[in-house]
Amino acid sequence: MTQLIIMRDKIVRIMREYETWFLIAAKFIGMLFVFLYVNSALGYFDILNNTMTNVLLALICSIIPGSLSVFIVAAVIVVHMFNLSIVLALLTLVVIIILYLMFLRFAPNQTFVLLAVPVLMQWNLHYLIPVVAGVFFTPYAVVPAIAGVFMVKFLGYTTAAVSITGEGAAFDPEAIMNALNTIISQVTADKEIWIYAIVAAVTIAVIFIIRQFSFDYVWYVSIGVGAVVEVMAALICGSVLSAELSFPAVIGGALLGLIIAAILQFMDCAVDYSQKEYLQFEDDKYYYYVKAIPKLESDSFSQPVQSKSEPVQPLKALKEALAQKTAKQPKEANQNPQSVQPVESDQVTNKTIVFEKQAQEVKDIIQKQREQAQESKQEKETITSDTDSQEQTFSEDSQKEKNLQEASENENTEQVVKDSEETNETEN
Amino acid sequence: MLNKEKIRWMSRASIYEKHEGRIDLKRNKYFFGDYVRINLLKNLIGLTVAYLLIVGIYAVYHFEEIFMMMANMQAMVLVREMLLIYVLLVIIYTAAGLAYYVWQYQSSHKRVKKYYRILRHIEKFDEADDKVQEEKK
Repeated sequence: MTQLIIMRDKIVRIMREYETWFLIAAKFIGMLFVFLYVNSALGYFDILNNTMTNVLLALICSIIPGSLSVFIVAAVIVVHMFNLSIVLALLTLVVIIILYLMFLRFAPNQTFVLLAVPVLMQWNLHYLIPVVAGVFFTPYAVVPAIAGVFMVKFLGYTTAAVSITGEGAAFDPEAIMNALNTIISQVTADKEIWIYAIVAAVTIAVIFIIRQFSFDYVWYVSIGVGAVVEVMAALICGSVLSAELSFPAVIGGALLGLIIAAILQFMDCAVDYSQKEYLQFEDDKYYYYVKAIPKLESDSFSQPVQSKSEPVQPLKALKEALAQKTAKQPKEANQNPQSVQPVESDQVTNKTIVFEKQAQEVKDIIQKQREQAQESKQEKETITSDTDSQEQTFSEDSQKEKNLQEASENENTEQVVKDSEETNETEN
Repeated sequence: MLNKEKIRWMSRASIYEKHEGRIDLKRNKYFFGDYVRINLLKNLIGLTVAYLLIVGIYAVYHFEEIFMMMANMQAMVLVREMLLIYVLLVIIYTAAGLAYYVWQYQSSHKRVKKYYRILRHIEKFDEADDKVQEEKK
């Protein structure tokens, strides 16, 4: 766990440092996938059905807001359809305008969901969207998710209807009516759209409701329950509507969604529930019940600073001894080629013996270190006692010298007095 | 000398201005009632256009039925039905729009309030700097 948190913090730090570039790169890759999908599904206009054009469009979309990218994708779709059939292109345009005016206008920040659905539908992974969108978007994300599936299906049926309307500028009112009839009946009869709508709505609602609670690990519980509910809802809807659903795709999508959502949640915010605290306080207007959970960060796992007073030598010696032993072991094994390789159980016992020996040696080294330390302490004490005695003797000597000096000085003064008296007597 | 605390407040303000601030400050130029009303009007126009397009597709889809009704002088029945559906849609969209735009404005207003609090902090730092400079003079 500690390693995970440290790794997470490193990744987050790098992401924050190069946030702009990461965003641009992610947008570019995502939009490239979208344009490649549009070209593979439609691809009627040669200039747009070109890798360089797709790269250029993806580059443009990577630096403009997401809501504008949707318009560019819609324009590309309509242009492709115009090359196929003008009537069908007009129908597509009208449907896109209706979708925008009635639903997508309210979800300008959820273009990711709208664009991700068609891309993931290629690999039958679109069932991961409700789990991820439930965690990171508002419940309204269900609308762009359904709109994405609807558009994919609608474009599929519309391109198939070209056999009725005729290609290019062909205009036959009866054929147009027939085509419209076919498209609308096919879209309304497509049970996959209905099942996806119900499953996405239920999953996103369940995740949203669970996330309103405040019990421990609620984020991860909501993701897990959401994935389970998604599979259950798909199973029920599939059996009730008797639709041919790919259940491995549903289960795989839900599982992948669970993993991605859990990883993203962990990267977004990880907290330590064991350190949670409940606080209660009040001000003039309110009484507050606060639940505070500390965030998990690598700083909380940083090793404590070793105090200078701690003995460092035994640890160093231990590490050195272990390193020497590990270095010697293979050498010794090579030097004795006659030694027969023991069976696995013997290897284990041999290893334990080696470890025991190493441990004993390390213990001996530590014991020696301690003895040396004690000896050095004792030596210090003796030195200090010697110095004390020396100081005492020195002080005694100095006292004696002082006394002697004083005595000699007294003698000298007496001598001087005697001399002066003698001189006085001789003068008299 | 650099004032680290002031820089911290200023970075917080500029981060807000860069992200949510762009939209929030635009919204905050309107009064609450004006903002909701303008957006409901836009909503209504959008819905009307979308509804007309849907009616157009429906007309093409059920061309024969409509033609028969018009021939039988039942055009008014059809128009009444269309209007009824339109009014129902308008009521639903207006109610949903009202809730959405009220929530949008209020959440923006909360964020803008916090932003103004940050600006007040920065102002205090500026005043303190001015005082120090005056004392020096």
